Amino acid sequence: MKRLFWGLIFLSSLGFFVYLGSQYVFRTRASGLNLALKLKLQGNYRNDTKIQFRIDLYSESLKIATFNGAQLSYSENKVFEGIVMLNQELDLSKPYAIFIKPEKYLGQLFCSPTEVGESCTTGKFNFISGLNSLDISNQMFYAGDLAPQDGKVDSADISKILAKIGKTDAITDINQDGIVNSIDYTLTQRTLSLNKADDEITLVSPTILPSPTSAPKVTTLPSPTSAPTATTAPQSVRGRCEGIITGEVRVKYLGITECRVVEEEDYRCVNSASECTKAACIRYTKAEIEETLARCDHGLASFDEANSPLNCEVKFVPEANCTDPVQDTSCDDTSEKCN
Amino acid sequence: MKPLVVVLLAVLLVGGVALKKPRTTPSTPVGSPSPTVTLLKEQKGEKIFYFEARLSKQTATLSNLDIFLMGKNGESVDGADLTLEASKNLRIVNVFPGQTFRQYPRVFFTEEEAIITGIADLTASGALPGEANRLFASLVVEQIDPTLPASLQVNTAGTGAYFQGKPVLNQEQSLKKVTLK
Repeated sequence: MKRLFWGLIFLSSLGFFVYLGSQYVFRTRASGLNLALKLKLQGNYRNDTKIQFRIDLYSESLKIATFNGAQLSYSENKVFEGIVMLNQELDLSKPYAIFIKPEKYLGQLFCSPTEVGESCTTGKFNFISGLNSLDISNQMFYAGDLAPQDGKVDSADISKILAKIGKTDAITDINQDGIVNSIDYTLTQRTLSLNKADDEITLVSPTILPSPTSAPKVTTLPSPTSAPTATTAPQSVRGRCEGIITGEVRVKYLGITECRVVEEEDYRCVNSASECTKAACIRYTKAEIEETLARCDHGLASFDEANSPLNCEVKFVPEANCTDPVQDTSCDDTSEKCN
Repeated sequence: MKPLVVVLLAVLLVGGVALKKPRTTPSTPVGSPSPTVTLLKEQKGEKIFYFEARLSKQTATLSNLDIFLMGKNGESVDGADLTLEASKNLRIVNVFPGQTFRQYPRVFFTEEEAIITGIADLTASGALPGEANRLFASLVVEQIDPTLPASLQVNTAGTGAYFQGKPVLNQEQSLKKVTLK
């Protein structure tokens, strides 16, 4: 039976992803400098699908290395995995930002697994010798920037697809199912509707610290014991960022807009109370809506963000052993229609 | 606050549509060309399309700007992008898609910039291309101070028209700037 509402979405975990901390140190497993990467692409894929992509590494605001032709293999649920060999001498004492550009997709800039795009201003990835791992499958890469890639999706890309409809063509067959068809057209159309482009490089150079003379003086009081003690800034405390999300979500499909009421509670784990903000909650909620739409509607529906008022009331609860909730990947439509 | 729970929500969409209108995205390849598809004949890469604007003043400060995608009658276009940037004394109030294309997946605007993309529709029987000499989009713009000059500039990097993957917009002939007096 056809669903009355087939295309749905779920804010499953409402976009509450794990903050890994202000500095992301990759785990070492072997010698050499390799990167085990996991990322998510818009679309549906066969199990034997492989994708190629480019990685640019940035130190501060400077691009210091490019790695072309890296390859990932399809894993499951739009996620691709693989190991990239970073054949370049890197200064391992510096943090880096990573720009990832899959073939046929728009590129994204990462300062950390959760600091992407505009919010990425300072690289926080610290590589170490061996196998480093990076899971950014919480961020969707959008399709349609076809060769020759220009960092945007426009009618030129749609036209390239239309020129090859019904044919075999590696350049325009986005999901690599062997034929250029309406799926490739629709994936590109969706990206167009979101007005997306490659992330701009918004990295900044480090702030110049004020000279010692201008810095306020700190008087260190002697401790009761004989040994001197250092005064330190308060330690960040990990905990749960609990949120009550309310509002309305509107989605467009073929010119028709559907609206659903949102009234839910959820939480995510954060490394400090300062990360538990209303803005972050709304931002992740919206990201999750887009991700769920892409997953459940196969790129046919688009999130009408401008007409979807959302509010988050957040509360930070310290909890050292906080673990994130399991994401709900269901596509059932159980929420109420807007009045 | 009680321990959490849950998950869930929201959701949306679109469904009733499935009952009223079949999905236009069959997973099988499109079959043999329909008569409509024959419109997609070779145009030899000629740049035969161009944007043209018609301005009409509605009030002392509000104006309506109709933009047409012009070309030879009977010629086809797969898609077109138009990017407009407002000058200091002008703000974009609204943007409406026109009739050149059946689909306008991108009608995006701020007070300073408008980006409109129209594309050929893809149906089970083939592509329905855009038609020349029809309204591409309409804008409502407001001259903040009617005594001062204002203009809309075409951003050529974000403007184009394409057929069979090739550019068909004649940038020389096409609209570059609209000045409001």
